[in-house]
Amino acid sequence: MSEHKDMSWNTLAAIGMIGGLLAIYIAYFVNNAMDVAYGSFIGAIGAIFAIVWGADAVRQICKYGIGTGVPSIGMLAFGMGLLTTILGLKIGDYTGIVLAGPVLALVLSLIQGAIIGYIANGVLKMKIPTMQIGMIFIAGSASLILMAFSTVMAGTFEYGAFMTDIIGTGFIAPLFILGALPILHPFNACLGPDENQKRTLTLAVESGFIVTVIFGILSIALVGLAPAAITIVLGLIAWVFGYLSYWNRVKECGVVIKDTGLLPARED
Amino acid sequence: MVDPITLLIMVLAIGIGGLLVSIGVHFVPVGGAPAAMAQATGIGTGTTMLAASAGFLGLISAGLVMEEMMIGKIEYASFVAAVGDGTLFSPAGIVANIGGIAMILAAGIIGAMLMMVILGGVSNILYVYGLGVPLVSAKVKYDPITGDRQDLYVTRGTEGHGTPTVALVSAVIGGILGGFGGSLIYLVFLAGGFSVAAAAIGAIGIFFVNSVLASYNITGTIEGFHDPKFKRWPRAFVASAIASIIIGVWVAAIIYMGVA
Repeated sequence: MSEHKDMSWNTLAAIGMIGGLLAIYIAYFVNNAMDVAYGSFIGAIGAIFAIVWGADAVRQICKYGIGTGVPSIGMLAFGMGLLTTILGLKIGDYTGIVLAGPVLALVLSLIQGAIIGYIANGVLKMKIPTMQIGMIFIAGSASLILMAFSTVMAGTFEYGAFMTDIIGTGFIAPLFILGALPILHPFNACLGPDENQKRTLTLAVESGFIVTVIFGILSIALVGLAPAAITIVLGLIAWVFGYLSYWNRVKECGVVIKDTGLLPARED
Repeated sequence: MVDPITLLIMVLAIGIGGLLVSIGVHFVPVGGAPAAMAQATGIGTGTTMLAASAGFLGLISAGLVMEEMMIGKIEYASFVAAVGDGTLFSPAGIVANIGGIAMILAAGIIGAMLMMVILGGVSNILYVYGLGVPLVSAKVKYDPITGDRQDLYVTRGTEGHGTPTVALVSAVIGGILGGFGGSLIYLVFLAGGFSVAAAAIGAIGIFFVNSVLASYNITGTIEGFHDPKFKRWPRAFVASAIASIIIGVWVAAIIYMGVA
């Protein structure tokens, strides 16, 4: 097993927040400036940043054992992030400053996470030292994932489009579950005494890309075939790379088994 | 523009709905993986999934009755009008349409109860006829409802198996509370002007938050109201009250700015 130092979760949070927001803004500008939907796939890059951030936060919380299984935390993240995201985007829409929407959604989700984190440690007495910050982070990453995949599917993160194209069509249901999967699945699959950050986060990237492909397929209905095809093809290529590098990490971490043969039937 | 009193009632209704979900989850016999292997009492899956399945069926049946009112199959013109113009949760609206509200809530309750009974009952059939184990809880010597002796039938090294009478009754009570809470939240969203899809997913989001917080309080398995862990519910009560009211405030803010 290779010796390595874990990346601090604050670094990952910075990368997740800045990378996630930048990507969805770039996608929005490309789509709006050229009046096309070809920029939609850039949203997926933002989703990957947010997924890596969220998966690491799940890892830091669940290391302590929460007693209910890792998957519940992904559902909690999206339960916390959904309404604050809608509210943030609505404020952007209401005030007419659409670009403020994603930042507000992220900030509100972080606040919501802080409150739930406080409840978990202060009221429910879970005594998990990373709970407070971890909850802030997973709520934030859930909000970014929602907006990023909304950009992938509808080509924009505007409130109106989010309510009609994502929620009204029912695409929110797969978005809720599949969006949560890449953040809850990696640690659930990799946990154990030899869990390491690189392998878990590689799995997060890999599952993020396969989910991107699914949202790419759904986006055919909203942005049309050509922009959707870009997302699907790039997503598939990236997924193959992600899969292979995860496979390599698994082999790196695996125990070497040497074949010594069976015991001889009789002693010579 | 929705008036402040209505918004306040909506926040409170979401708070109450969340609380009911949270307490309801404590009644649901969750056994997790050990129960799936017949080594613990309860239904063999996690709290979140159980609560979600009960909640979803509650929402479906509440939505069905709602739709029947909207298309006029169940005649209730004032209710439809109140949902349309957002006055359902104003004091006058509640008084005038209490029957309609009760009908939606009852539908939600029945859906969630059905789901819990199916979950408990079908897994019992598998336990009894598939695995050949008696339905017993190891936490109590006598079943509090039937009075049957239990400790004699518990396999050594396990915590009981299946979903015995008391746990099944407890599950039904959990379904009542969860269905009530879930459909109340759903109704608040609808009355606030959210579309049916948005109301459903919003209610599911709040459902998840409360059921996960409740399961953090339980930490692992619970058999129902006879389980010693059930005594912990006051903590979940406070936790869910805070969480749901905060979410209620976000929802009220969206409604205030106008959903459309």
